[in-house]
Amino acid sequence: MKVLNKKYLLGADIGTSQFKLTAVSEDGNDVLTISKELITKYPMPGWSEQDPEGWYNSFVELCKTILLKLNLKAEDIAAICVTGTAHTFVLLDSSDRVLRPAILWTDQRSYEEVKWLNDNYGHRLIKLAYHQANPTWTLPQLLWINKNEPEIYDKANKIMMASDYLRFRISNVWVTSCIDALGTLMMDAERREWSAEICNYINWPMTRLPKIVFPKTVAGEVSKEASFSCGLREGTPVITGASDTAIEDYGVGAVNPQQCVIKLATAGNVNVMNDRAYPSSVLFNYYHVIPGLWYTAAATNSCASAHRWLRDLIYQPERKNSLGPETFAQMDQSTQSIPIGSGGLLFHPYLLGERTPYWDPFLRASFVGLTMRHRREHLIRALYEGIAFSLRDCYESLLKEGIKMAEVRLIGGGSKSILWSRIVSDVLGLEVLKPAMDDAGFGAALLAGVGVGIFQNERDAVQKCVKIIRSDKPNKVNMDKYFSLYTLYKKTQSLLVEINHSLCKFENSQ
Amino acid sequence: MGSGGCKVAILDSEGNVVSSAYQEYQTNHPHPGWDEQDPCSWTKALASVIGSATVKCGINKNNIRAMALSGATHGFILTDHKGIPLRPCIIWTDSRSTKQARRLNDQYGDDIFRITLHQPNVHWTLPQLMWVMDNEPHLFKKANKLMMVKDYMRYILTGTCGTDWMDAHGTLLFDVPRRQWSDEICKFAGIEKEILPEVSAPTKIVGMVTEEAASIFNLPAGIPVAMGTTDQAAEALASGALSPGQGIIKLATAGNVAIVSHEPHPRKPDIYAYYHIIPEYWYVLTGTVCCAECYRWLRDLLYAGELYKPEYEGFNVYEAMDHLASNQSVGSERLIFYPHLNGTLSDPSHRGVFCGIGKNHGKAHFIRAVLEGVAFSIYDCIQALENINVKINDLMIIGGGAKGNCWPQIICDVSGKKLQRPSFSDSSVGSAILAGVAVGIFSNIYEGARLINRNCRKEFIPNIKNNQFYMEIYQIYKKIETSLQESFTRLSQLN
Repeated sequence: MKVLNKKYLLGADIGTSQFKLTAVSEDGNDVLTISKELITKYPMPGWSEQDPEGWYNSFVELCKTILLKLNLKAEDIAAICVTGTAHTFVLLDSSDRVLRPAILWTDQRSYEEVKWLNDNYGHRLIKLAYHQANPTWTLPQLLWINKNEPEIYDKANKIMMASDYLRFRISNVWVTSCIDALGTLMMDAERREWSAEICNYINWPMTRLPKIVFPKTVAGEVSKEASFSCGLREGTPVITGASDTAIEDYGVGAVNPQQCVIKLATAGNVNVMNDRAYPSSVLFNYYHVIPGLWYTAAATNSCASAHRWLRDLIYQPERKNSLGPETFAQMDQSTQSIPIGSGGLLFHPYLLGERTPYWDPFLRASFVGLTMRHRREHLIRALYEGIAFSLRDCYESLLKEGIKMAEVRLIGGGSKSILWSRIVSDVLGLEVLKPAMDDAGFGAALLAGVGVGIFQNERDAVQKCVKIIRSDKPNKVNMDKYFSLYTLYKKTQSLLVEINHSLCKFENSQ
Repeated sequence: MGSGGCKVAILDSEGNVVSSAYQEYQTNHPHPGWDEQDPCSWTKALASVIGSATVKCGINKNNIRAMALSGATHGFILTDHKGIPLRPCIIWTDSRSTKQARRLNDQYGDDIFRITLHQPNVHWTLPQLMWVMDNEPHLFKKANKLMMVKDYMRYILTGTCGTDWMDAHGTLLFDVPRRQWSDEICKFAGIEKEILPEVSAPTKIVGMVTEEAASIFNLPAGIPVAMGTTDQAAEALASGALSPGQGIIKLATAGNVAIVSHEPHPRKPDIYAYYHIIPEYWYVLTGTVCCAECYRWLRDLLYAGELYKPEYEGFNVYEAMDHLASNQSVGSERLIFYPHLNGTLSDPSHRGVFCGIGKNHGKAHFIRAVLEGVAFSIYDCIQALENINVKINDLMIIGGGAKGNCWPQIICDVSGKKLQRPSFSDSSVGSAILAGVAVGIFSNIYEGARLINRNCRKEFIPNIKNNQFYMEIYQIYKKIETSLQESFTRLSQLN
């Protein structure tokens, strides 16, 4: 319910499977998020695409809904900021028509282009853009279009990342944030400008690249046409924003060096904030939302997908309903009484191979140490502990590069589990905090407020609006127990490598 | 008289099994590791199953021509001079006698192996007897006779004592090559030979149902009773494992592979040599600690709790699991289960493993992987015997795990050996055959066994392609055994 003449800030988030719109009151007290499903198409194995107009349509619909739900008038919205998945791009022709569906960050088609780029320019890419090519990033995907859809490549006049496209449709302004730009692999990271050299590798004219601006800059205003469709006041400031991970980390209050965000979602990341980048072939480095700061990410393949997989394995779908989220709470509840070490049971969470620190797609998951005494509850706890150990592997990789962590903010579906948070705290030996809001849209809304001066600066917004609902401090006794388990976890993983490789080789020969 | 209960089978003279009945009795655990049974509960159970079985088929009890009993090995009763048990029976699963077993191994291990073909462990009679000597000397002093489980029950029925070769062997006091009680072992164990029973053949008639027993069991007095044998020997008989090269694969809580052979072939620590029921031959056995027990464990993991909800009424969980497993591909899409959930016979530190798990692996994969993993461990048993030159020609697959068709076919494909599943393999049927031979209704043991299963054996033929596939996966399975030794050891230490 609206109170007096409180202003609201809007954050729009183009997620991978959902579009979310978040409204935050200027005092930070009222928050509402609503969402709508996005359809991903898979025209060929390994391809993932979405229709960019679908993003705008979702935005329009949700905007009208949120104004209604909060009983707001158009002028009550002080500003809007946009965020969305990184590495997802749209090509437009000279009449600003979309040339083909957007290729998502999950798309895997460009492995040949990746190989060619790395073989020929790998060392230059690391030097200039801080990263090697991989199928997630834009550069090889554009090369793929060059080779496979040359007519589209030739007609392309503008490239926009997902948030850029939405912002363009709302404001008619074509810009990108430095963070989104970095995610194309076509940017000179140190000089913060597009790299002519890299664009030359794929014959990409630089005129097709947008202007690069800081995330909190006011990019433009809501246009007349957009205002008509979505119900916002024409002229409402549109703040640039950035790609979702950066906005998300900002929105949970990670704004100082050595703060860390760990996401326990479908895949996982361990992101550490810093005052510089740490370019390496095994870590990802991005600008932070706050100019001058960076964050370094160690990526892991495990996390919540392993949790969901185990839930589906050991529980029966009720005859009437399918497995619901309450089963997760049930899983947590039943595991309370199981001691550290799960009765001598180890779980390695490599259902899809692993990235940090092994970079081995042929690893697989395992349960080692099963006995007659082990029941469901032991397997669940072993899973929590195994994923925490894989996060520790990421932590150790970061430490090796000289990156330190002081505390962890835990976000994503897995962070709902109190037991899991405690285990992560004890395994890492760090305090673990759970923020009340971890939607990227929330972070975007805060940045909108920064952009129009409702908050003094980025850190001020965080201080006023970010609330921590739970905190776990590590327990020394538990930490020691986990340390011996962790060394055994690593040792066992190394003993299983040959077996995992044999199994995969075998699989490929069938 | 099995470990968990009493089963009776009634046969007619043509070898048809006309009736059977089963009654459980309890095992008591006065202390951790103690497993005891009260002989009164045996009597009650035997009376109950005799009653049920005879009523079920409606026979005239006066037409009962003979009886025989088999029983779980090693378990014993000490009676006083009046024939009254001095204490409950210590059964074979009991593990209290670790000190006594260690003393025997340390001081006389090699001698005992030479004389009995076995290494002492807590499950054999001798260490348990010595435990009673050491801890209950006042009782041991009064001991007049040692009776094995089936011998005590036969004593209740007939008032006569004695035991057969197989049960004698199971005491660890018997000189196996010489077929007599061992003076040497009795001497260093401190056991007086006087309490030991006279030994004779399982088919010898050794008594008749007394008047007193007749009223207890509601049977006509005078029925001839044969000596009987161990449950293991009776089971081999019923299954038809009678000639060298024949044998059984038993899929029970634990798994066994046992083959009839010309020679004993004993090997420490895992290969056990027993007298076979045919006196010329031996029964060579090895096994795996966790067999059907793995399947039950997996059932509880995947279906526990849900089974008691109303929407699961009428749901047969093992059938459902078998169905899922049958529809999965050979090799479970490279999910491997290492099945030693309770350690192996030689290494109790070993643990179970699921490895090669990918996102695509669900319930059906896990179920099939368990069946395949146990099949690999059974294949290990077969190989262990063939490696010491035990010839295997003719395998019968028996036990609770053999009831469906999925698991036997997997074992067949893994081992590459043709299998037969007899309809009747129970020890109770074997004892009934002994009774029939004892009074001449069957001309001999072979004839009795042939008649029992003449119409009803299911054959499993190995699929060559599947076998080749399994042999490749088996190489990877074997790597688990050797690669993860360190992890197993450290995990058991953690606990």
